[in-house]
Amino acid sequence: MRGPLAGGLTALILWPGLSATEVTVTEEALGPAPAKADRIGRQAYSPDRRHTSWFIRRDGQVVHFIDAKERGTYDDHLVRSLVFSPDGGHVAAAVSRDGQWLVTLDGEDGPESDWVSKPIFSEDSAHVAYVARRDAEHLVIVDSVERARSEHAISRLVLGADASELAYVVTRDSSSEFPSETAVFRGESGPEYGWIGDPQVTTYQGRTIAIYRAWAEEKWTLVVDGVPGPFYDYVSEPVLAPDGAHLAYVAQDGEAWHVVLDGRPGAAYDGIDAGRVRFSPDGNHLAYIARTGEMECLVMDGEEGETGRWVSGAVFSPDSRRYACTSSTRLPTGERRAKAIVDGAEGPAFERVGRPEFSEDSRHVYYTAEAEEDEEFLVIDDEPTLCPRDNLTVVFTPEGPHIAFWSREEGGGRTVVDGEPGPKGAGASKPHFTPNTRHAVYMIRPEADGPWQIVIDHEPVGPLYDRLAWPSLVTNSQAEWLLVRDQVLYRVTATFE
Amino acid sequence: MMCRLRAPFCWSCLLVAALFSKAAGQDAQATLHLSDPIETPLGTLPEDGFDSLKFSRDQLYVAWLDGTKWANRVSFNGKPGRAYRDIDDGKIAVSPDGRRVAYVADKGDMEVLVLDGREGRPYRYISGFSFSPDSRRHAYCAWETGAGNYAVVDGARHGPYDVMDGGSRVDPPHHRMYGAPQFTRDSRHVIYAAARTVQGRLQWRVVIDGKEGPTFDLGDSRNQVAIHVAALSPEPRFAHRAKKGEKWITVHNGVEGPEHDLVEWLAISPDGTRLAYFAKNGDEGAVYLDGVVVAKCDETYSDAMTFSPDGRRFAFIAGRGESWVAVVDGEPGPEYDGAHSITFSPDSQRVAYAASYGEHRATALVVVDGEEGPDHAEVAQLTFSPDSRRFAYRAKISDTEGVVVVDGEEYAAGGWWGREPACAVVFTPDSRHVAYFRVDDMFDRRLVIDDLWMGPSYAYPMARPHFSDGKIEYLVMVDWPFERVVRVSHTFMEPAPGGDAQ
Repeated sequence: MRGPLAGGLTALILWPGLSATEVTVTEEALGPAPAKADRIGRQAYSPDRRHTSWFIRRDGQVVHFIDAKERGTYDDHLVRSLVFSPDGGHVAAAVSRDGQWLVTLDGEDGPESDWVSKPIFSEDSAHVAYVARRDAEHLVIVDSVERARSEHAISRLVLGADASELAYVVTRDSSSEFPSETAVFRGESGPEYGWIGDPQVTTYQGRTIAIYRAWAEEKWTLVVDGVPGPFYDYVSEPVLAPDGAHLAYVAQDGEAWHVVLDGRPGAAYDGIDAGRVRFSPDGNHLAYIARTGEMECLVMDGEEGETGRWVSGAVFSPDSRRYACTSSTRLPTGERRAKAIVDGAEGPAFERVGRPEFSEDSRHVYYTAEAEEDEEFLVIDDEPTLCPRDNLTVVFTPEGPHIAFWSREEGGGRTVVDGEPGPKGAGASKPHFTPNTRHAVYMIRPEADGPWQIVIDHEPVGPLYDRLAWPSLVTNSQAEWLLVRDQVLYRVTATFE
Repeated sequence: MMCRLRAPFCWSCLLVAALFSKAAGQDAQATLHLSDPIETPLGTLPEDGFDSLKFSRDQLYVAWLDGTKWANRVSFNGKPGRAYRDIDDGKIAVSPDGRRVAYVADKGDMEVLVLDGREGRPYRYISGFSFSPDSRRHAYCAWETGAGNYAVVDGARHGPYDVMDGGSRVDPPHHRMYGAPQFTRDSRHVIYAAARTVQGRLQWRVVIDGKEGPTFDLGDSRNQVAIHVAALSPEPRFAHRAKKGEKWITVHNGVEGPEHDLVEWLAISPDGTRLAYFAKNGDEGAVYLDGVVVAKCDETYSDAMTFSPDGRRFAFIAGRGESWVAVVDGEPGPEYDGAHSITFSPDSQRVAYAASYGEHRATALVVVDGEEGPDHAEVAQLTFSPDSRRFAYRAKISDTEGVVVVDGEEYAAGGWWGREPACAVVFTPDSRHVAYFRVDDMFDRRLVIDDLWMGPSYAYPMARPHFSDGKIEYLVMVDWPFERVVRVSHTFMEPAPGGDAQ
């Protein structure tokens, strides 16, 4: 195996080595943690990973736990949904008791119904909504209050920023192969179509509206604020600029594909990949990948640029002033040739290159690359250095980059942080730098198939834990995890100078 | 043994050949006249299109996927369809009569069914499409986000259900639908299984023409439900297994069978009146027929149980310890190290199977009506003639030599080639002639009739030959690697075999 850093990478490391650190590990026992085999369905984590929830089967029923605390007991069923709010402060699930379905929110049971859908949260996490069926009628329930009722099926419910921004689809004649569907937003029904896609409630050009795709008679359209656009052979899901000022989607018109920007179709191509349509963070630039024949090209603000057999979607810098993509092609010899392109300038050629990433200040760009014979490189501002890609973490500071990776060696490997190798182990998690980049935090598994231990600045600290977990919080002086030891869930905090 | 045709030679010299038929009951000398080949071009099969091939019932009409990274089309009988970003090559269906094609096409994050060139309503996931035997009807399963699974039959949606399973085809387990609705032989009825969650458990039911039957339990084995529909019954007769507490039972036309610790491998008779299955109680296994033990055995497998066409006889391959035996009408035959391909003759009077023995099962033979045939290295494609009087199969002599054995006589077939559909040995409807492809080189393969007439060389036959209206037709790739596909037709000038009874 190749060793840690080689070549000129050390010259790039201007930041001093990791400081000697005093670490204190504290544990807060939250409660019993079930074995994986005892859980029903998946264990859910809040987006910030500070909270967790699961169901277990016990005595012919299922029991709901939030942060290892028992909350409610329900019918033994296939758990369909367990969802945290965007801020991680709430958790909801659809459950049944004595054959009646209900939504439980933070352990508090809502009203019973014949059936309930998966609950959803509003963007501000303050409201929860779901569809319920009672006596053959469909109801929209928001915060346990009925907000709409229909004799027809209601589905595809979405909540915007607050409870009033409610959209859903009503399906009439659902026993027909071609039922009639209507989207309802803020209580107003839109036109009828043969099919309506998942609505989005979003702010577009200063107004909060509903946007959805619709289909009728083999033709597709995008309906914006109740008004259908032109009908095409296909339209993709819309892409909104981050500032909400612009809206784009891909439309297929026979053999011609266009990007439609704010209602105006762009140039025709043989194909456009909807997954590679990107706005810059400030919303002022639009990039997409278009195909002509067998070649792809990057189209930036309507101008054709980089071409290749395959061109990746553009990555914009945080200040929206720079962009990067990759282009790869296959030589007549069968060899692959790939390059990163930054601000229109080609970088060195490799067999493969990874997705480029910009530094927070937009001044630097880096990516991984692979050459013949599996040589792996880290390329920073077009300068390649031999560097393994496993667990690679790169953080830029004004003084230079901080780099961490997993260096394999016989029987395991070591995490290397800014050139300094850590303790040997059978495996390790991806390291996290503290925001001031003075400390590196990760978990290591000393023995194959064995338990895991927290490592701060290459020093293993605290007890061994049964499972690996991502840290839920990393500050300049503290890191936090939810970890299991001896079938007990702990909130573990490592505090360091 | 006699091999009358060992070396390849000019096919045109043999357009007219004297045929001394040795078929049972046919002593008279006959003369076989076949026309020059008429080739109908069907387009060019792409390099990676072979795995997507789908055929009509007679294997003379074909569809395949012609795709690139960006544009995929289904080519049907030589006509390319509309381009889509992606088409699932496992979800292309040609109607039995070869006149219709359906496939599932990608529309970004949605899927549409394209039937006769028209796109249907978008769904998140579509699976299990099937045509009715008369090619007029169709059915499929569709999953809609937030609603569930629907069975879509001729323009009507049934459901939604939490889980559906209509047959033995199993999709990847991460999908929520597992099979296809099935039509009865007369195309009048459609059958599938579907489940809803009630009080925490999946309650299954068989749905016939949209009407839901009694519910049943399958425990946690929801991937294992398979509705076995009688192949020849105009009425919807069917069987499946179900759980009753901790035990397993069969349900045959709505009637529950006895309880067992485990039930596997069901087989329903062609008319749907009889049911056979393998079950275990403790460590003891047995095959049951009409609820009664036929023979005890340790194991059997899915294709190992078969009813005669008239439904009166039953045979299966049974595993006992390290040995396998064929059990015909309840009577076990000799033990072998392996056995497979058990089959009855069309008149239900005769039965044949393949067996193997020795180290690594290196010696294979065919057993017909209890009589062992000669030893070979491998055997395949066991075939009775329509009148049930003749019998043929392919046999491997060595890695480079294969033969077709017809009524005990070996006909040279070039190299060994035995497992693809095109390897079939096909009798004419009047049972007088037998056709098969021989292999003289990797891309030099020819149709042979009765070891006397040999057709032109083609790179690769794609399907079995088909006799109809005094013709023999087949699909081939003309050359390699260009892979032009043609339908080849030769007319029997005199005497015509006649009929259309493949």
